[in-house]
Amino acid sequence: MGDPIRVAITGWGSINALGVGVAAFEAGLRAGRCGIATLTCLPDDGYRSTVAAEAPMTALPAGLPKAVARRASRTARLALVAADEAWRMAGRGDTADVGVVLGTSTGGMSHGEESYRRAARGGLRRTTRASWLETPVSVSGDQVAALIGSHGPRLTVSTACSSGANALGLAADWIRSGRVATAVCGAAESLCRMTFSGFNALQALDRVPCRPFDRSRAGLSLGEGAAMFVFENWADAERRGVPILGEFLGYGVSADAHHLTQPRPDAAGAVLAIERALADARRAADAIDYVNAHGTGTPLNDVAEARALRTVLGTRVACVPVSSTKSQVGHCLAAAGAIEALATLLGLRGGFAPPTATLRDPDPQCALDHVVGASRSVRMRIALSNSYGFGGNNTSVVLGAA
Amino acid sequence: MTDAIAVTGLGIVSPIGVGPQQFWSALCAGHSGIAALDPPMDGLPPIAARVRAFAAREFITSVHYRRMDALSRMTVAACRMALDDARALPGLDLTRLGVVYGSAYGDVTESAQYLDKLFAKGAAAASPLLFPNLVHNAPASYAAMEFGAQGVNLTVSQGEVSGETAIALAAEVLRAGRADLVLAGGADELAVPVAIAMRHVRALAGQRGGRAWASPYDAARSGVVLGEGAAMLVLEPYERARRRGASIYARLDATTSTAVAAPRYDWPRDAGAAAAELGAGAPLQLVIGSANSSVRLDACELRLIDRLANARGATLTSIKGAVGEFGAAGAMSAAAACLALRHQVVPPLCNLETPAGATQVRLAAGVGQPQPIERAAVFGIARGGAVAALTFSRA
Repeated sequence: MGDPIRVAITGWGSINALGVGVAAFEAGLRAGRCGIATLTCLPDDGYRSTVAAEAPMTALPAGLPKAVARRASRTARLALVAADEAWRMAGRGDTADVGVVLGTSTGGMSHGEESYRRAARGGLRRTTRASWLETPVSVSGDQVAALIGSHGPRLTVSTACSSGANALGLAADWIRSGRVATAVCGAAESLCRMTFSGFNALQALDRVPCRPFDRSRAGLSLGEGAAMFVFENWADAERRGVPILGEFLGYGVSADAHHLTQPRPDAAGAVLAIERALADARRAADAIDYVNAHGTGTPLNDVAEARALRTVLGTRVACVPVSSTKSQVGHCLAAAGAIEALATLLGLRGGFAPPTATLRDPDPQCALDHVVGASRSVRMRIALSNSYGFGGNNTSVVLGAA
Repeated sequence: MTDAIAVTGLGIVSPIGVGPQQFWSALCAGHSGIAALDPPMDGLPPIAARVRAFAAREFITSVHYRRMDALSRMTVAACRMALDDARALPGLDLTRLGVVYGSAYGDVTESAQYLDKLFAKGAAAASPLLFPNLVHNAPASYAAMEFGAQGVNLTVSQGEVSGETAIALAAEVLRAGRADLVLAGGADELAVPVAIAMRHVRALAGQRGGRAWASPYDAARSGVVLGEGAAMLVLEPYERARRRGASIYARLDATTSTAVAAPRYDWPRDAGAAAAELGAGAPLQLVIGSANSSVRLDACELRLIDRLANARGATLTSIKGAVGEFGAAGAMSAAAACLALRHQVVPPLCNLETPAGATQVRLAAGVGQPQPIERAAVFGIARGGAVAALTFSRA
C-alpha cells in the first residue's frame, strides 16, 4: 500500500442567481450580493411567496450533439453550462475513461411538467416524444457525458438536498479507489412548479428573501443553478502541471431515520455525518477554519444545525466563521451541496469567508460566529460544508486549500 | 480477498411472487407474470406484469406505513424480507446499516396525481402530504425510518440499469469501509407516464405489429412489456458474513459500469466498446441479460455478449419475460443470479420459440435446468448509453 490517493480539483464551473461563470459567482460572494428576487420563470399558481433565485439562462456550449442541444431540459442546460466551464479549465485532452457523477433531484421536470400539462388539457397526442424521454432524472448526466465525450463510469445521485454533496463524495471515492483518474462531478437543479408548489404547500417558503440564522427567519427561498468540478488524481494533476484549485479531503454520510421533512431536534444525524467526514479526511474538528452551513432559513433546520456545530466545534464555536450561501443564491436543492462546496473552495483559495448576506439579527438559539453582510477576510486551510436533505439525509464534506 | 462482498439476504416483490422462494420457483417453472390488465386501465397498455397478492402491511410495522406510496411500500417490504433472510439485524450497529437504492423513474404515479391537481386548481390544491413522497429518495428514506438505519443512505438513477448501478455502488461503499452492511437494489412501478413514453417511441410489444407478448431473445419478438417490482440484496464484507455464520448466496465480484455512446433516445445500437472490459474476467457459465423483448435492445445485447471473451459456452437468459421491463429490474436479475448460484439451476426464458442469432452462447429454454455454475454475470443496457455488469460467483 502506497500513500492514499489525494483528490485534486483542477476545474470548476458555475451558474446561479449571482451570474454565469465562477468569476461572477466569486464577485457576488465577496460583495455579499443577494440574488433572490421576484419569481419570473414560473407561472404564478397562487404561491404565498413569490421570490426566488433564478439563474440567467445562457447559450449552451458549442459542440453538443444536435439532439441534446435542441431538447435539453432546464436542469440539463444548467449542468452543461457549468460542466463546460469546468472541463475547459481543467484542459484534459483524453476523455474516454472520465467518470461522470451528477446530483439532481427533479432532473428534466421542466419537460415533465409540460407533458403532464398538455396531457391533462388536450390528451396525449399533444405531448411530444422528446418531452417524455427528457424527463427521467438520469438524462442530464447522460448529456454531461455526451458533452465531454466520456465512456467512463456514470452515476446520477438523487438524495434531495444532499445530492450535490454526495455527488462530490462518490466521485472522490472513484478517484481514491483508482476506478477512474479523472471525474467530472457536481450537481444541477432548476426551479419547477412541482418543487415550488411543494415547498409552498409545506409553508416552508419565506415571503422575503430567506434570512438564515436570523431571529425573524420564516423559511427558505428556492433557487436554481449548477456547480461542476473536475476531480483528478493529485499525482496526475501535478504531472500535468496544471493549477490545483483545491483539495477534496473527505465526506461523511448519515441518515436521521426520523422524519421525511424534519431534522432530528438533537441533531445526532448531522453530528454523525460531520464526524464521519472528518475521519474520512483524517482531520480533527480543531482543524476546521470555516463552516459553510446548510442554513436554509427554516426555523427547525437552523437551530438543529447550530446545535450540531456546537457539539462538534466545542468552545471553538465562538471563533469559527459560519455562513449560509443560501442567503445569496437561494436553496438550490439538489445543486446546493455542489454550489456551496464551490463557494467554500473559492473562500479557501481567495482567503475570504462568504457571508450570510441577509442576516441582520442573529437568533440567540443559533449562536455562532456569523459572517454578516459582506464577506470577511480569513486565512483558512480547511473548511466544512454541510448538506441536509428531505428524508433525513445528512452529508458533510471537508475541503482544503491547494 | 479483503474486498470480497457476500450476498446474504434477498427480498423480492415481483409479478411472479413475493419473497425469494416464491419468485424462484415460479421463475424456474417458466411462469410469467404478464397478463391482460383486467379491468383495463386508462393509459396503460392492455398487457403488463403487475405485482399481485402483495400485502405490504405484513412486512411494514412502523407508523410511517400510512404515508408511504406504493413504490416505497414495495421497497421497504423487500428490505424487510432481505434483512430477515440474512438474519442480519441481531447485533448489527444500526449507525452502520446503509441503504443504496436505485430507481429509474421514482414515484411517478403520485407525481402525476400531484401535478394534475396543481395544474387544475393552482397552488392551494398542492398536497403537503404528497409532496415529500415525490423525491427520488423517499423509498430509501422510508427504509431508514422503518429499520432505524442511520448509515449511508443513497439513491441513484441510471435509466434501465438503475438496479445494477445501485448494487455496484453498494459494493464500493462497503469496500471504502463506509458501512458494515448495506441493503442494495432497486424498484420501479408500472405507471402511466412510463407507458406513455414507451408508446411514444413505439417500443411496446405489438405496437409495430407482431404478437403482444414478451419473448426476450426470440427472433419474433415485437417489443417491450412493462412490469414492476422491487428487489433488495443484503451485502456485507465476505469475512464478516463468514464470521457471523451467515448463509451466503453468492460472492459479488467485480462490478463495472460503463457508458458507451452519446445519449440516444433509444437503446444504443452497439455496446461493443464495453465488450473488452466486461469480457476480461474468468469464464462465465450463466449470463442474465437485460433483454426485454425489444427489437433493438436484445440485438444490441446479443452482439455485446457474442464479443465477450469469457462468455463462450455460457447459458444466456433474461427474467423479463416473467417480470416485464421496469427500470430497476436489474436488481431482480441480480437476485436471480444469486439464486441460480445457490441452487445450481439456470432460470429459463419465457416464450422462446425461435432463438435469435446468438452464436457463442446457449439460450435457456423451457424450465429451469440444473447446471454447474461457478460464475454468473448480470448485464444491463440503458437508454442513454450506460452499460452495467455485475459478476457473482459461487459462495
